[in-house]
Amino acid sequence: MSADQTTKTFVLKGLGVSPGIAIGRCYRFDPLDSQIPFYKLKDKSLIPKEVLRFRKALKDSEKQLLDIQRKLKKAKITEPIYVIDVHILILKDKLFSNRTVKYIRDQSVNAEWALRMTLDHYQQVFEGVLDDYISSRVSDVQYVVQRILRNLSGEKHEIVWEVGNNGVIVVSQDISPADTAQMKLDKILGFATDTGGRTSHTAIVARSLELPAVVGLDDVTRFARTDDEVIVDGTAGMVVINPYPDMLKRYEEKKRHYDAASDEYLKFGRQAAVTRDHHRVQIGCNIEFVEEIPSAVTHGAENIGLYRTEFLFIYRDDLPTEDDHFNNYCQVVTDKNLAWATIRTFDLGGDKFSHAQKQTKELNPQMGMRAIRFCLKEVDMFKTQLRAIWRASALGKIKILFPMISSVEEVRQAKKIMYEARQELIEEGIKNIPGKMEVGAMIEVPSAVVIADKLAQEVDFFSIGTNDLIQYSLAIDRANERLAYMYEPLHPAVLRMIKSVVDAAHKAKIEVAMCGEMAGDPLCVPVLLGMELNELSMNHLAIPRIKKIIRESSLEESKSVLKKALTFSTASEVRAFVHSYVAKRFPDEFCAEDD
Amino acid sequence: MKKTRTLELKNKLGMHARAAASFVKVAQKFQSRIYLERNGQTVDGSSILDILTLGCPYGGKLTVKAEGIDAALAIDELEKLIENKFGEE
Repeated sequence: MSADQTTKTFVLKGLGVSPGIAIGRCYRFDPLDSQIPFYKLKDKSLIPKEVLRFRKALKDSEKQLLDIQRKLKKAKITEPIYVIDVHILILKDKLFSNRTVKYIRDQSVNAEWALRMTLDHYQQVFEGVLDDYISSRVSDVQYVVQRILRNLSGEKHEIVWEVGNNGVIVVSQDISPADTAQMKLDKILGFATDTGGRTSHTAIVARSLELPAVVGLDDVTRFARTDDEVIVDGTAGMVVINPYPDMLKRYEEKKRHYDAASDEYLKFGRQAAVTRDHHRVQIGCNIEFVEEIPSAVTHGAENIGLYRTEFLFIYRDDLPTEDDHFNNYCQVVTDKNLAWATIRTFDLGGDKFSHAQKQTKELNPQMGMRAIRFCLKEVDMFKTQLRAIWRASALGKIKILFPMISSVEEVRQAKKIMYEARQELIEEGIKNIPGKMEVGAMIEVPSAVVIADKLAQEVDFFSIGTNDLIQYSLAIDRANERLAYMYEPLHPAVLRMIKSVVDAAHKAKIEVAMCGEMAGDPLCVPVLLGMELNELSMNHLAIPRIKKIIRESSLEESKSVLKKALTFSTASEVRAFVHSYVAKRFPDEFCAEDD
Repeated sequence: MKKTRTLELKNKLGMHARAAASFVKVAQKFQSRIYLERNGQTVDGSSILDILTLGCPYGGKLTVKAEGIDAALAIDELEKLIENKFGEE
């Protein structure tokens, strides 16, 4: 092809789930090649051969799945294994294979066609199942059929990356655990997919590999073809196909900045967060997946300040077992670079819907049956998690954190169940279970702020969840875009609440952490330092910059900044004051565009 | 030998994919033929697809039938599996 006039630039917007910029050649990964040959067999004598071809594809598929399962087991990834089990059983299902063979025999069609008819049959049957969850399992049949089809076409299964010598950008509808198990991950620069969200497998893999990824692009597979030049901007959630030269240059520039900035900042990540006047702040990292631990460590996390466990429930179709919990917690507590892990018991309900737990629709789920309320009602589910946490606490320091505490009774009940779980383990003869574990209350409901002095008598630490605290105290639905402008961490009411929680904690001689987004907001550092919070926990990318600012600050100065900030009557006054202060004090950190 | 037993599904998700997989695996250990019946529909207990398409929810009643020399043993073990909620909770 000469200077290609047909090349058109496409810009697609999706959801950036792993930050950074990748520029490279597209590799269209398609689990089901759209070119499936359907034909009638020329004469009946060809039937036995066709049946044999089908049986061989079945066997090959089974072997591959067993292989993948072994690999995943080695990597200690337990969740998808059972899914593969189901797929293997479908492959071995006699009714499934006999039906396909019968189509080949009776109608003299090729195996692909027969398989297609079998799939159609099951699609119809599954549609008739009333249970939504079970009827959606037709996707398992589809997956198995796709794999057999791939084997029938004789395609190589190890996915070879011959496109770009410097690696490729994988463009696909979606990527399953089995797909990634077959990819040469070191050849991938980034991901762009049609479907998926923050918790989809693609997102998890991308974050763990620190590769840029954008998901939910709807139809990137329609526009991008193998070998097209592609830009994935995982920070902005954009994908550009065939960028024109100027645009490409701008992105190359951007990529250099991004990479340089992260390398430069990583230096600060390794240093302690100590102010010039020797006040030390503990820096934790918020994580959702164990895959994020390596990035947390490289960015300078000293502990896991918030491990959100609800994703254990969401990234699957059934309830996690005690061992599923345990396997994850083990990985969270055994990293030698991390002093401890604060595990928050699951906050189900609210905006995080779990497939596993069918719940009745709530008019106001944010204030509904969720978090600790849900746990105190679903004691069995709660205990399964608590048992796993106790078992993992034998391997490393764990602090347990109860979410959405609004009363002292909730803490007492949760602790009671927690110690019942411990007693059960001891009675079952499980060894090395420690005698106690530090217990914390999440402070995110205004009532908890008001009775913080009472709560402090019941727990070993507080962790302030600013996201919900702001939402509840300012009565702003976080999901409502029309109210987004009102969401203001520097609202005088919010600052006063945080201050009173910290004071109550310190008066009772317990530590207090902050794990909401505010903790990772550079602008808020002086105010939070002035509050004397013991720990700030944030997403890993924020750590180096926050540490840098803390190292350039002093506690005395921050205290006076806070004192002054607390004198204003409106949020915009506070913001203007804090902003002018940081712009003067840290000119390198806060340039004009950082508003 | 023929054995029949009616049981109630006590695991929260009913006869979902993982549960069906465990059932098939146990059923296949025996020489007896295993059938499952629900609302007058009978399916092969060694076919995961058939079991799934029964659509048996939490609290649903299920009749397990076993035919063969080890029918008694088979039905005991399958009952145990269902009673233990497929080892899930």
